[in-house]
Amino acid sequence: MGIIIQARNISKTYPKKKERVRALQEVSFQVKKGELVGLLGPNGAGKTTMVKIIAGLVAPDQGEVEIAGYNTWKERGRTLRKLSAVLEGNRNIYWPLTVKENLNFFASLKGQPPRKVQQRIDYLISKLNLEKKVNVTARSLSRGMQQKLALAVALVVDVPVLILDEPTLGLDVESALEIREMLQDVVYQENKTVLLTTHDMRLVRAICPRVIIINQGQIVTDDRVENLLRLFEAKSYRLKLTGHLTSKQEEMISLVENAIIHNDRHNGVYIDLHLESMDSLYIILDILRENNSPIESIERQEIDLEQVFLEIVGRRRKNGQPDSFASTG
Amino acid sequence: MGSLILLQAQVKKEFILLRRYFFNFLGGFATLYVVFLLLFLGYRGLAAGTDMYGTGLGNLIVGYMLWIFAMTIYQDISYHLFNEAREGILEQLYMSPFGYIRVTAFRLIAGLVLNFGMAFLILMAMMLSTGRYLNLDLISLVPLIILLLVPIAGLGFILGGLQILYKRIQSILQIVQFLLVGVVVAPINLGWTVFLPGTMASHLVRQVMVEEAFITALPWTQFLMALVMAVFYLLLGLAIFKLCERRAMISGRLGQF
Ligand SMILES: Nc1ncnc2c1ncn2[C@@H]1O[C@H](COP(=O)(O)OP(=O)(O)OP(=O)(O)O)[C@@H](O)[C@H]1O
Ligand SMILES: [Mg+2]
Repeated sequence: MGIIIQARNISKTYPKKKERVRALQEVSFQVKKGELVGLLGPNGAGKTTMVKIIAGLVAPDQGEVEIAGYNTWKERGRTLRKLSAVLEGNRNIYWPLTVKENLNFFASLKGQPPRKVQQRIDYLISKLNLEKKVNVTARSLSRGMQQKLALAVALVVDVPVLILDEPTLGLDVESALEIREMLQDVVYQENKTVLLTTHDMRLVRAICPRVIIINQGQIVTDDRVENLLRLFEAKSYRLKLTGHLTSKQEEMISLVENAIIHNDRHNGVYIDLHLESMDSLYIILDILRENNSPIESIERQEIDLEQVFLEIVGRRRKNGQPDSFASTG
Repeated sequence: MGSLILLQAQVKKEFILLRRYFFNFLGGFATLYVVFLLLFLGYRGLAAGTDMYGTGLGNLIVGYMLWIFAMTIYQDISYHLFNEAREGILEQLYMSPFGYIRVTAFRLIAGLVLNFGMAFLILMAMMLSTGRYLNLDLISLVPLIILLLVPIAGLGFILGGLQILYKRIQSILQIVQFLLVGVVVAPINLGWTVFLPGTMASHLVRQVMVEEAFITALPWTQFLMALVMAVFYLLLGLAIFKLCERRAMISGRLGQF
């Protein structure tokens, strides 16, 4: 089967003066060789913590991570030969060095002499459209260019696993697209394994066949994106009304879980429903019957990944309110 | 084999940065030289005409040169680490299969050529402007200077490690940097001073440069003491650094500044 990333029972609590922050609780997952997996979750869910534990930069309280069979803590050197990581932010490269110098230096840092990777460097530079910037210091590059360079640096030596923490955060559409294409190439042509965290649902939709969603330090979903969409699509309805609702009806409907009333000047009144069970649909129909409110149509809703995501992380909350999260999409 | 690649890369990087920031290097050189001239003028005003003038001047020159050596290697560890952390590169360096300590050690070795160059230039400038020429017997001097640098590197690792853990200790770094003056000029006849990092080695360097002793003529007990102190401070430094690093990985503060 070729499992290349194996996380077993990872828990992490950050020691802090006043309170202890539980960042991860018994997280386990596997990634197969050649997979491209998105790690999603609202702010503070524990994504970066997970990434850093995999990269051997943060020590877990319990559990272990294996990369290609090597334990990230006990066999640090060996693991680090198997993986590259681009961490959060724009600080993965040497600012006083140029694009080319960075690539040469980081190749050596991973144990490859620069002359052996020249072809690779040329390829990465042209693939990521950095040709004109080869002799420009990283400091003077734009944010998008810096991020592309960071990705190039992570790919300069041939490692089987690539970990990326929010690779397209704050990038313009074009740079994000270039990074997206590069990642796809890396997976489908070079058979590398990629695990990336992001808030960018379009990126996930475009390149990640599988997502792991974590919320408050726990995995809440680990499934293929198509399955998630199908699952939620089947449960999403829109009821369109021809008339108006009485205020009593509105009040009663608003008490139904996962029902949202829209009062649109152009489209009239409609109710969006995410069904946990068919019950809520019947309840709403009962409420509508009271006034004989005419129903124009009941349609199954098109649903996008963003809604699925909000549903999933929202459902874990006690009050049923989705957590606010920064979307870069 | 792998290590050689890393060393080459570090030498190359140091060289690129030297060329790119050559004016900083010149500026640093000029500042150090001017400070020395002021010290020299002050000294001449006090000691001119006395019997001790020549030896004292020799000691002043050697002390100044050793301080530059000590300060550079110390800064190369502690300040560099601060910069690497601030520029966010620290975590990437930690992800090198060679490990951060080896990456840093090789940068130090790469930088050593530069340090020797700088110290040599300053020494020449000092000797030319004071007319006091000292014994430059490299066979005796190089091993002794290394015995000075190694324990100071240990000191650098101690403070570097504390810095990973307690971020805002720049003022302490600066204070230690000036305490290094004391370390390299302290006389050994106080007894306890031989336990300071690099003090014994500094004394031996003075013996060679000012008293013109050959390395084999130095008391072997003193040489041994310098060696023991070098090993002791280096091991202590690495141990404390590892400990701090471990703590930082538990609290997730490795790359946070
Ligand atoms: N070094 C640290 N010390 C204490 N608490 C921390 C530390 N790093 C992270 N945390 C806390 O751990 C939790 C998980 O943080 P983490 O950075 O892993 O989340 P994230 O999913 O990456 O969030 P984001 O989407 O904002 O990047 C948060 O509550 C955060 O405040
Ligand atoms: Mg994060």
